[in-house]
Amino acid sequence: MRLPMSKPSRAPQADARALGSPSSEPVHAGPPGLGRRERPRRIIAVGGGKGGIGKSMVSANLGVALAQSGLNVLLVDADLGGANLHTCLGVGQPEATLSDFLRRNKARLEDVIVPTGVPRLSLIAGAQDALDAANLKYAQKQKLLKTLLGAQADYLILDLGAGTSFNTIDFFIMADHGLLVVLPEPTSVENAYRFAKAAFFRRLQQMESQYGIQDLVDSALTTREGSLRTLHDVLEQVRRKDPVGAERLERELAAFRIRLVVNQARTDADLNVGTAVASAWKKFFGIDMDDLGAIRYDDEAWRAVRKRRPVLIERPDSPAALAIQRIASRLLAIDGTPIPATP
Amino acid sequence: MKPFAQQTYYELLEVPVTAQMEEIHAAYSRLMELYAPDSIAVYALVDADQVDALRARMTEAMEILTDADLRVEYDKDLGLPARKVAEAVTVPVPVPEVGPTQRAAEALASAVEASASPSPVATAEAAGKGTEEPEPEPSGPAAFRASFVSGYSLSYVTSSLQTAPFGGGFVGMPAAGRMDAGAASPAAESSWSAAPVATDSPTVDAGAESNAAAVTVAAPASVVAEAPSPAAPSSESPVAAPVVSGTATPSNGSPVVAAVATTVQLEASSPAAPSSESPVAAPSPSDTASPSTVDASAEAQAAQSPVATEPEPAVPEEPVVAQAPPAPSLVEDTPVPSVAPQPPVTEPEPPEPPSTSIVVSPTPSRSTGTSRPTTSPAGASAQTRSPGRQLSDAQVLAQDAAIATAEAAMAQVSARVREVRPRLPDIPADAEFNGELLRRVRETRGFTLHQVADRTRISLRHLENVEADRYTLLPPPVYLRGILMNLARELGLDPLRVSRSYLGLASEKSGKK
Repeated sequence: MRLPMSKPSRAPQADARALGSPSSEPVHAGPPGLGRRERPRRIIAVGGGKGGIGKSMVSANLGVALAQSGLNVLLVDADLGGANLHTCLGVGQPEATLSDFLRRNKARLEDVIVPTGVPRLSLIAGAQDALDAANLKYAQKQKLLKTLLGAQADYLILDLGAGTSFNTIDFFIMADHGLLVVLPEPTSVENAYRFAKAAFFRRLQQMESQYGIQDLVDSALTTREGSLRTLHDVLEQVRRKDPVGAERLERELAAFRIRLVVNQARTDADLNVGTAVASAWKKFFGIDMDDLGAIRYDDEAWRAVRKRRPVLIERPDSPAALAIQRIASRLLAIDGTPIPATP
Repeated sequence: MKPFAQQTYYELLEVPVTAQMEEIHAAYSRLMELYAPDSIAVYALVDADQVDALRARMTEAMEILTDADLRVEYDKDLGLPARKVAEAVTVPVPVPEVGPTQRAAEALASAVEASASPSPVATAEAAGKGTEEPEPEPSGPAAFRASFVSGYSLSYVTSSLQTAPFGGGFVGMPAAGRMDAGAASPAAESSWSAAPVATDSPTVDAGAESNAAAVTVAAPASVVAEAPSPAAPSSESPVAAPVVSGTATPSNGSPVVAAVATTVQLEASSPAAPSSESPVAAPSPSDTASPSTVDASAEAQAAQSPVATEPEPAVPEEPVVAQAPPAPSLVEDTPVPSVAPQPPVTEPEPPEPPSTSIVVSPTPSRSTGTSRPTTSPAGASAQTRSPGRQLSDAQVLAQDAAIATAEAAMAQVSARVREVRPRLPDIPADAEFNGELLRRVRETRGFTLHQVADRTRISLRHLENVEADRYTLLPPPVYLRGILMNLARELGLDPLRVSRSYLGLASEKSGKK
């Protein structure tokens, strides 16, 4: 891969060594502004920890909504072991997938992009049949991450898989917007918190070499009762050694915003779960989360999936579709993109 | 990015510092719901005990912020602009109604009660009733408030004190004249022990013996609590000017007593407007008590509890109506918060001296007997002087006194909050982790050997041997290493460093032998 990738100067070379686990390029949120290549203006990663909570549905429809706003959107199915984003969009079995790109040395990302039938919305389907598709090798992940950073689009949307494996988390933390999909139920909330914590600690890990806090992060990750438990503790420790570094660390952590989307809200109380989660998170971890809004539980959404069509196209006036449009415009507002009139 | 334990009450409740009462209540109930144990938003987020701790702190925040006086104090503590303070102070003033006074009286009454052990209570009551005609019972709100005060503030103060052994007495902060409020309060802040005094009252020329703070005795309200003890040097005999000093002298100097004393204060302070005239009498321990007075006060000071040992001299000029009820013998008993007889303080009625609420302080020790517990009813003094002006001032003064006392209480509370997390002793980078150091760290963490043994599954015997550096009794290095790593992790130390250092020591020492 010879992409001139935008390599942040403070690359954590120590990464792989630190945990002996594959680790990604430390990609920092925000436009690196390096390289001649276009970079997606914004990257949105949709994760959530738990399976079956509508990550793909949200990704697909968000893609549609943004494309309908007049932006070029590239959807990537990064759910390597359970790719199905194409089905959400009604694309059928794609001819080219991510595994083609990963396996062939010379492949270009452009070669595996397939149209979706929605103007300005294209798709890179997930790996299909390779049995080991989910087990991305370190080098492959690096390649993919770099390439994605070089993709040309206004918005790059990554549909992540369930779980908190590094393969998932690394995609999540490279995004400008980490969308955390959550259902108003304990199982989902539990996994969402775990996912968010894992994301932050992963990010810490990637920054650790600059701050000399490897030990601390490691101990936080393999935590036991009595040792470091929260980011506060980590920061506190770092501050003791290096106040200036701690400041920077804190800023970096705060720069990474997780944005919540509550899916399948059935009651009015459910609509507020996002706010509640964000405020509890902030209270205990001191880090802001944004609540992008809730999507009502909607049979139309379910019916649309049965028809293999995005609900936004199938029933644009259904509550779920409207909610997704609201979320899309909120994202655009955050990015400062003037919201184009919806076609 | 602050852990909630370090957030201010406003941050905790997520309200602006200008929030109104209703706003605070609304925020509180919203948050209580959000952080309810069964709330989905905190599910699996953090440990249950952290949620509980947060809730407890929020409750504390709500209690403080919804109490006008405590809030003013708290704001001051935070360094918020005094604007609000002024507001708060002024608000009540214009209303010379019975309201505040009554409340104050109640609070005082309850304070007295609380502090007094059963027997004292009786005396207090008797005194209250006897000397002052029991005023019309305060009606609804007042009563509610009194019970409220005695209920929660008592409990929380005492609880906070239980752990921290403050052996001391407490001090009353005297009132300052309205205009002096500003000056006085800072003084109070700077030195908790100092009792600011109101200058305008011509009354007392208090012996300003207190070096630091200007202690003048304000005519009407100053509450001086001293750690009284029988043994107290007579020179130091605290005098309560118009105010009563609560002296808590435990015969055994048990912390309990201290708690009592503090409670008294707190209570006095919590009631928003303590009536200026109502002296609060703290039961001073009877002569039965013996021991260390001096100690107590010293300790108290050390503990930073505002101690008013220095405020001195009795003010002779004051019309002192000292009613010394029989001294309550045992103060140690936990306070019984019953709604006390209300020492009614009726400011408005200047007339009969007795009517002014005088809560008597049980008298104290014989040693200082003379100067002591004179409780000069402020009201009385006021009357003697220019009644009109004095009276109106009295209220202001009373408020200031309340503020000052609240401040003192707050200081304690916040001191305690700050102390919650024991800090690790500074361990130099090149420190050798021997058993002694490990033990110190463990003790700083507040763990017992048993707790550590339970959590780490390291046998007690091994732990003891490790801490005692009995290298020869320890298992072979392979196992010892595991033990040390686990122990270090439990103590929040760097496992590698600890095991390396300790193993080094062990091999060195045992090798020599």
